Amino acid sequence: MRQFGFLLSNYVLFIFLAFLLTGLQASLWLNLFGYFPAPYLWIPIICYWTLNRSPIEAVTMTYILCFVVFAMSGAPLKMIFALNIFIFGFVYLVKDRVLWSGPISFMLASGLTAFLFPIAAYLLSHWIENYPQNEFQFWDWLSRPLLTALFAMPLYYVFSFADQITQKNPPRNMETEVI
Amino acid sequence: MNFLNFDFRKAAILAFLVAIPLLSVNMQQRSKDRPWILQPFYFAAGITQDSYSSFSSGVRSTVRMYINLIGIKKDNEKLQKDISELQAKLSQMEELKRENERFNQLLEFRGRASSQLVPARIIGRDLLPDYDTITIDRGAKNGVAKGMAVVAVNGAVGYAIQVEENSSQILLLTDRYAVVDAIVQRSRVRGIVNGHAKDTCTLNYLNANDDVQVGDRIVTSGLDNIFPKGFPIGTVVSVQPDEYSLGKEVEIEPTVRSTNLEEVFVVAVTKEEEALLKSFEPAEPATSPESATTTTEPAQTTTDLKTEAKPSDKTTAKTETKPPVKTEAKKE
Repeated sequence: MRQFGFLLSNYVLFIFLAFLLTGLQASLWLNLFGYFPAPYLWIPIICYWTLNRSPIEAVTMTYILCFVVFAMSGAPLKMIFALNIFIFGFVYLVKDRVLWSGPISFMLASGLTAFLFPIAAYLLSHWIENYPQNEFQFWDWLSRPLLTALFAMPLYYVFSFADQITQKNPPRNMETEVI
Repeated sequence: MNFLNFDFRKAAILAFLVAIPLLSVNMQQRSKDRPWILQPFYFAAGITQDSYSSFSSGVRSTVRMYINLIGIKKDNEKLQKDISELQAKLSQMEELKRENERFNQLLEFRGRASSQLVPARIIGRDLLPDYDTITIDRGAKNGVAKGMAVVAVNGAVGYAIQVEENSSQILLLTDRYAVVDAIVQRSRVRGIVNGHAKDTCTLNYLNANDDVQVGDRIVTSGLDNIFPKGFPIGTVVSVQPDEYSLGKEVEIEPTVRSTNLEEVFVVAVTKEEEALLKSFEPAEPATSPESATTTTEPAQTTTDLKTEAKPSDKTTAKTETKPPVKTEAKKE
């Protein structure tokens, strides 16, 4: 029961963080930097959970994040589901082949996912949506992954701290190693 | 005999020594011009004095400067601070001036508009860059309802697709899911405006012989039951025959650029609709407590009607086909 309480509080804390981060991306960034491309701040959460949790926990969090993103986007829910599952799938696939751990590796994982995200969005849009994307924004495609990777570094410590206070084992501090 | 024994040499020296001051006094008295013999002295004296003077004044000014530096430094710091404050105030004033101009424009626009407008500020944008939505700080509490039009001073912006208590999500006209019934202002040709890309829209469902030219202004037709009639949407930038049909491909540059927006208006209800709604309200309430309770009911009904007024079925063949289908598909 106590363990379940900690797990629940961990979920609640991360959902709270997800709202804080997506709000930062949608509103605070707009107020500070106008329409300059903002980092995808929910992607590091999915990466973190995929890398450091069991698949069931990670998928659950990914689904929850879909609703958080949907609340702040005009995209159809099916598209958001598809994209977030793609992020989870990609990180999970790579996780088995590369030993991801440590803040720098987490940063790389987030950056790489953010880099692939618009490509996946473009392809999935043509497959899923009735009115698919008809332009690809190159400037966004290049700038957002960099910013996401930059933000991922401090976020790693924030997430580790969140894990600590909810009695979750923080991730092992090892670096990337291609197996 | 010793008297005759006179030493001429000593006498000459004595005479010379006595004569020098006498000659000097004499020369000074006789001529006001500088004697040639004294000129080198004057010259040397001049140089020396100049040098001393320069040196002393240099030292004095250096000392004075050093003494003053402390005060100057303090003054400088104070002045720098003053300048910074004034610069900040100046930029703030500039911003306020611009804001004031903008608000004046908005007020003027609000005054001349034939609709009841709810002013709103943009507080957020879409998380995904491929979708053009914004979030405004007005929601159901302020009379905003799903489907209401959002306009700016210079034209149509979009319409509400999601309404919360204190905020609303607005689908911009440039989003690929956005559709608006429109007409060409010059020739009155009617079509449907679709969002296309970040800064472009297309005018669709035109016939090959419809009169549309580059530079034509596209305005809302008012037939989609979302936008009031006559709001500018954009200007035609290209007209080409459609490859897949007998119609035309018309590209429009929107009048309102989402990246320049700060404040918008939600078209809550037109003044005609408001007058019509008021005509449904009952007469003056009676004074009894029972009637007091009944008076609240119609007011509530009015608000309901206001909010429900937009998605009613006052539509035409064209609008029935596309706009509702797209919006529903998106958020469902």
